[in-house]
Amino acid sequence: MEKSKRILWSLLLLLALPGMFMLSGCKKFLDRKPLTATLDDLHQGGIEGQVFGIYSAVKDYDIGQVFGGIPWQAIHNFRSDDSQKGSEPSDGAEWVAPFDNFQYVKDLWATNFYWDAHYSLIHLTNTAIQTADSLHLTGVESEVNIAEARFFRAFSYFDMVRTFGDVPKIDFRIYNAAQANIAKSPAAQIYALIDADLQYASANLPLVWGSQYPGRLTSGAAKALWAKTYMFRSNWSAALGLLNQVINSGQYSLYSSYFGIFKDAGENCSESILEWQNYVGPNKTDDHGSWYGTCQGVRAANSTGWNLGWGWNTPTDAFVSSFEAGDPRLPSTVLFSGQSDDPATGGYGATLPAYPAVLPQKYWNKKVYADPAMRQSTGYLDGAYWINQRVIRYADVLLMAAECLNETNAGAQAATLLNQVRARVSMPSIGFIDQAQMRAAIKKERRAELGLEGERFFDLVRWNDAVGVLGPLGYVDKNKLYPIPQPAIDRSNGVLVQNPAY
Amino acid sequence: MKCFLTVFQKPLQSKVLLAMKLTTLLTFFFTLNVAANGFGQNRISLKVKKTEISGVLRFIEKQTNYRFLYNDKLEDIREKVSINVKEAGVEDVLKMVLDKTRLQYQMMDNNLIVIKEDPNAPPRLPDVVVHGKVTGEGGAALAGASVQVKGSTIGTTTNNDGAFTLTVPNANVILIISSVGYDMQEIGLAGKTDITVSLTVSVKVQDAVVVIGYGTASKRDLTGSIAKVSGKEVADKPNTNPVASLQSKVAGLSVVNSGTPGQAPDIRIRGTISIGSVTPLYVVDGIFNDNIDYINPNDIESIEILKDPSSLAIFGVRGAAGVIAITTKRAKAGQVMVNFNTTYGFKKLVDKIELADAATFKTLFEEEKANLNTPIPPFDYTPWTGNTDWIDAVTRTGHYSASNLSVSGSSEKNKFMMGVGYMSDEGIVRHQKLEKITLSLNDEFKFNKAFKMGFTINGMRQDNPYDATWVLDAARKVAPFVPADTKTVYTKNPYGLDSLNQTLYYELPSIQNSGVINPLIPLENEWNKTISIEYRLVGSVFAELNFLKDFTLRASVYGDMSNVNTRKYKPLYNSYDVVSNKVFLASPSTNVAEDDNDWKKFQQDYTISYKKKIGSHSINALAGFTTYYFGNFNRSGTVNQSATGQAIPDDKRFWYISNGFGDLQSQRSGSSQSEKATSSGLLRLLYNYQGKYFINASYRRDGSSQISPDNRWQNFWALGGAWELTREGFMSGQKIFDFVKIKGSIGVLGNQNTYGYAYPFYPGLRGNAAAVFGNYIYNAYAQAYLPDPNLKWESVHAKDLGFELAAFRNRLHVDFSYFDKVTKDLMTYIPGINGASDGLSNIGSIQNNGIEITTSWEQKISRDLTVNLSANFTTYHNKVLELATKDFAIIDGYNRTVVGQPIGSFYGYIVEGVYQSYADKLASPINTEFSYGPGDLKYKDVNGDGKINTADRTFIGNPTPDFAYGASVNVTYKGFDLDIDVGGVYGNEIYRNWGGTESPFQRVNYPAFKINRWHGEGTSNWDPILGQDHRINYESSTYGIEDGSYFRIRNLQLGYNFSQRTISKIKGKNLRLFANVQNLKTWKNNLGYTPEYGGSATRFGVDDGGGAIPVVTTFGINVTF
Repeated sequence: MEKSKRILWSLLLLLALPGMFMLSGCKKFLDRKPLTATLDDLHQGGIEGQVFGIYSAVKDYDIGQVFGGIPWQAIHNFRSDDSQKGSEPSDGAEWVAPFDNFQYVKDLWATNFYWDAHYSLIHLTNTAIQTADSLHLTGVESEVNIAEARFFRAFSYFDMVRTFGDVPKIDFRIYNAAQANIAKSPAAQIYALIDADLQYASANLPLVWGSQYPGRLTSGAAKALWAKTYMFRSNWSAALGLLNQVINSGQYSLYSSYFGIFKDAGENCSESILEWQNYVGPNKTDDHGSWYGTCQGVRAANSTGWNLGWGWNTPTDAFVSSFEAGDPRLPSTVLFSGQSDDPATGGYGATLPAYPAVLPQKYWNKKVYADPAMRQSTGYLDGAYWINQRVIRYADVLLMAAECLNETNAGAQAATLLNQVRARVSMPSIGFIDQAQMRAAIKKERRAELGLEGERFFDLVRWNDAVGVLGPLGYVDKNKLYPIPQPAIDRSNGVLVQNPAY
Repeated sequence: MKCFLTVFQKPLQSKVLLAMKLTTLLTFFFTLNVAANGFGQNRISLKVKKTEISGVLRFIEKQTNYRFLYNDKLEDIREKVSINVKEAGVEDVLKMVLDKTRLQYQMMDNNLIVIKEDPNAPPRLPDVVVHGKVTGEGGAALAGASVQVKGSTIGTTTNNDGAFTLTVPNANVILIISSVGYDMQEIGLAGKTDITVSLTVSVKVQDAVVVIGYGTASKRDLTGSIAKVSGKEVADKPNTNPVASLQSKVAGLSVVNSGTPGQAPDIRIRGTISIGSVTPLYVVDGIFNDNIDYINPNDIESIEILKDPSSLAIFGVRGAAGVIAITTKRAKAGQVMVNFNTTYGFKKLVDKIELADAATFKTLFEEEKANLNTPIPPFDYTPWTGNTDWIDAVTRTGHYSASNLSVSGSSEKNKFMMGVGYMSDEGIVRHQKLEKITLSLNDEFKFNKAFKMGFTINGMRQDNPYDATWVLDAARKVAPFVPADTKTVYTKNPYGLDSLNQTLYYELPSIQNSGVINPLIPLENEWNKTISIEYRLVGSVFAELNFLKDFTLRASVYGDMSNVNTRKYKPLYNSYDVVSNKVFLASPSTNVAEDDNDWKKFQQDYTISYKKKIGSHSINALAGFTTYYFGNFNRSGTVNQSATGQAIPDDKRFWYISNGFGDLQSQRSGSSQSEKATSSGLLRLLYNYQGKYFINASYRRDGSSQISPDNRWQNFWALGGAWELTREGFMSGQKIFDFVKIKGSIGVLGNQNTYGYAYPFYPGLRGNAAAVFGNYIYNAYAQAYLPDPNLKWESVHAKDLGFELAAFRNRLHVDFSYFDKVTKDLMTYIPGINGASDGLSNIGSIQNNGIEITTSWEQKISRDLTVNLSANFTTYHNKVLELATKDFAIIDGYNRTVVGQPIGSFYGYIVEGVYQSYADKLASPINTEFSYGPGDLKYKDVNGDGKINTADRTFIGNPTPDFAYGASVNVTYKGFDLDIDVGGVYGNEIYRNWGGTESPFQRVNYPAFKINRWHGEGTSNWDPILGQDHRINYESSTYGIEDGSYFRIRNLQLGYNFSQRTISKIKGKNLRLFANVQNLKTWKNNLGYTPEYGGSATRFGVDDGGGAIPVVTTFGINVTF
């Protein structure tokens, strides 16, 4: 009997041992938080920090690629008649057909990522907005932060609605990926969201920031963007109202030197309304740059000493020949292979090697022509990561206002604004004759003034000129919208439906 | 049945005694019943303890009027008995009293009872006390061995000294001695009462001792599927990673090796169970580990592969992907042994991919240029006169060498073993070399019978190879007209102001500016500028206490610490541009990057086990508590040379961040760190009845720091049963089967896999995010990913059903299993649905099932000739059952994971041919996705709607084989032995990315087969027209699909063992010479270097143009003193 008791007792002990250990002591052992900051650790200023994260993402080397890198160049620039893929013919040959010749491809990294990364940025904005909301942040600073987030959301959706038309409207924080798998909303509903966001942003963003925040979002930027969205809807009066507010704000003026806008000294100049901020410290320190400048720099073999980037987005013959004689904006915008870089229009006194013997393209985008001194000091001899991307300039605002005035039968007033832009580059004034003449003049001016800055394709589309101008390249009317990327459709279980024309 | 009942009706401890009584009583009854006539009328009550029978009789006389008559000289009358009766008849009492004696009684008249010796009784055979000792391998005492009297239930087990004492009915019984891992032995006592039994280690597969996690057991006692591989199998193979040697050797274990020294193979046990981690858990002498690069293959005693739920549930959340348990060598008892072995050999690249030569390149390139829609400028070939095989240019014959020395000794109290090893493993790519020194030390000290302690230390220093994994792929891309040699140019020294003759490699032509480099430029200039050294120390201490005879308490503490220090120097160097005949400063600036990566793992196990054989019941129970901690701490920094100042010299002295030359402004540092921990309780019961019916049950509860407190604890369990038919009576008549066991188990296992997220439910912040305003930089905060608060571990619901048999006098052995595993709550992330691109959720399920068969046949043909044959066969069937939403796809390159399809299936168009002409194009269904013309690929209209578009894409291949197989032949003739291992897989597809649909971003060399391209009507109906801008031909399609089946002579070894006579002359114990060839020949059906391409769970089977597996030939000598 004794023996069996002993066994029972021992078995009991056997069972109790792990139980005892597990009840005590484990909790602490298993409570481990990340050994680095989390959102929870950021109390005050957390919302601002999150919003800064959006500023970071919109131009970084990842998500930022679709706001200035090669996917952006393809969608916003290659598709115009002004520029083409560029680079070596063998480099990205598969991008020629879809973006230069309008044989749109449904499954291509550029457009797949364009879609995904825009939604990634939208996700960041929704998270910030929801965070502010859940914390009941109502102070002025918080409202500014919310306004910034809503600006970026509108900015992203404007790209999406212009490029794809109807798209899913995600205006809430996603907790579970399944929540994000929703059907498309009509473009009108996307525009309604854009309007609401930009109205809030216009009302809550400051007119101007202190000296420590050059290039941070202002009400001027919100209004200019909002006006641009109205331009796409041909809502001239709404656009004009906003543009007048920007013009009358007294914050902006045309920068005296046209090419100077695009030099390092011209960053955040008086003409700058919206500009993605890039910075690279000396000797490769603090690399907070973007692909924007590098992807367009002159491309050549390393050994030629002219490897300044990837050489994408190069001007076309059509673009070069579109300029009026003597327009200084041509030599300020285009860098010619085999010619001097012309210090009078932004060069540094070098002569480019010849095309096609050494350089693979005739022309290059001079607006991102890297300063050799900066290349040396940053240590990036073959890139231009530090160059800011000028997104909305005051000249654009003036020309948009001119267009609105002309479309609302105030052509004479339109001519005044148009001539402001022309006067800066010493081009002769254009007198108002009739609406059609003025319309043509404004269109021509936009092409010359905003060359290679990502406006031309969408301008042609909204003017209904695209078929006429781009038709010879292969454009047909359905090409105003790009097909929704196949992988997005594939993984949505049919929730996402392809654009009807495709 | 009777016995069974008895045990449960009576107190346990009296069982043996009772059984003996029963036997004797029955005998007595039959011998005495004649005499037992008439009854005593008087009733008696009697309570005596250990009283002589004569005394008892006197008591009876006192209570009754019976009188006894007997001879005082009778021996048996002096026997002592204990009686406790109440109101019993006198005859009943007498029967009791005289039980077990040779006496009988006779009732006479006058209440007189005569006691006398029974003349028919057998001669007196008194109980015999036998003392004995059982020894095992090398004469060491064998504790816990079972000693049983044949044909009875009398038995005991040996103590820690291997000794036993057993009272047996007589000195002529036969004892059955058995112990786990040893052959059972029968010993006739033949009158001896002091015996020593030496058991021999069992070579029978079914009796092997296997590691089961927190202990060992005989395979016979288990219900699961565990494969055991002897350390010998891996010791003399030319692989630094021991598991690499197991390819095609074990059913259910798939091993895809890499040709890169030091790179772990892709290992999966019984299929792809997750879309996250599918790597098995390694358990090395009890230590949980993710990699085993610190283990010297020569230090391994055995490797066990645990595959089924009943074996794996004890590993809880780590068990789902299977376990590879490694036991390292310990000193063998009673011997001092010195072993030295050395292996030397070389590696050769075989099955080279075939590429165009210079003339072919020119032909094809000129043709392609003419085909392009966008014309490109003419290319001037005049400076380019080379005709290089670029694969040859970057590869070489690699050398392999390994030497090991071990010393072991053992005494009664102490067991000691020490080993040192050195390995040098060169890859086939130039300059790729791994060097490793290992040290192992273990000791076990026995204080007394009850208490012992021990420790194990494994140390390693590894010089990691220069990372040349990119080289083969880079080399294939270079145009063949580029010379691979150097040009000697008198030019400026990049480090100084002087000039000197330099030998420079060639820059590539302008057409290869994008994404293609001359691999020799960085390889030859930088291969010796990286110093990467890993130190690793793995140690453990244990103490074991035996108490209350059957209990063992064991406490173990383990630590595993590793440091990898990598210092990378970027030198200055020139290259030569033949077009401009100029020297180019290819690397214009120096910098140093230093990376210090530490990890620490700590594990503690406390187990208490109870092992007891009670009659027919064998119980082996275990309970335990264990914790595991893993911390990773990584610091890194960089410094650049100052823009204006001196370069950082090309001297190891200065390859540190603070080297005195760097630009302080450019000095940057960073760190990353994470910790995780688990805490677990575990229980296990191994039970069998009469060695016939087995039950294995296990349970583990795991708590993890990586899961939110609400779901933190998860339970895992398994239940297995087995029936050994050959122990049943109905099998005793047959002579064919020696052993038949039917087994099955069911359970739930866990998979602790987090896609690399250290804190899956608790996200940190996006790295390196900063808002820039002008020249001001502000920290930016964004959550790194989206956490799911309900996240929990994946669980694998597994079933295993099979049988084991041995037949024909243990010459044939068959092990069969059917397995079925359903992974539930699949942990995954959904890539890129509208911004929800990150974060983990439990959203799917995957099923894996198949059968495994392992067979072996051993035939001793003559005294000198033995042949062993073995074979294994495994089928794999994988299917995704559920994933987020129906039809949701995880797209990972060409692989697609979708419900209803095997994981990672290839997806794309079916190529029907090539459009031969415009007429052909017009006559075929229209492709609405692309612009195309003659020479482009004609895809199949799968849905038959008359047009070809994305809806016509379909599943075109499965990277998982239908089945895998392996076989070995082992022939021993006198001193010679020959081993041949073969293996292969069947039924899988490979996606060949190179020379097909790889990104047309680059102008790469053409594969040789492009000579068969379409270049006019009727020239090809498979290989499309050349033209990088013919986008239609770059879609994922069957054009890239290749058959992945292969058959390989995996290993061939011929050895010779010198005879004892020869060896004794050099005072040795053993001397062996051998030659070995690994990967001798592979028969395959694809164009790549190898038919095997590992990868991640959702991207594998893709041939990216690398992955060469060399043939390795080695020679070795192994001597023991």
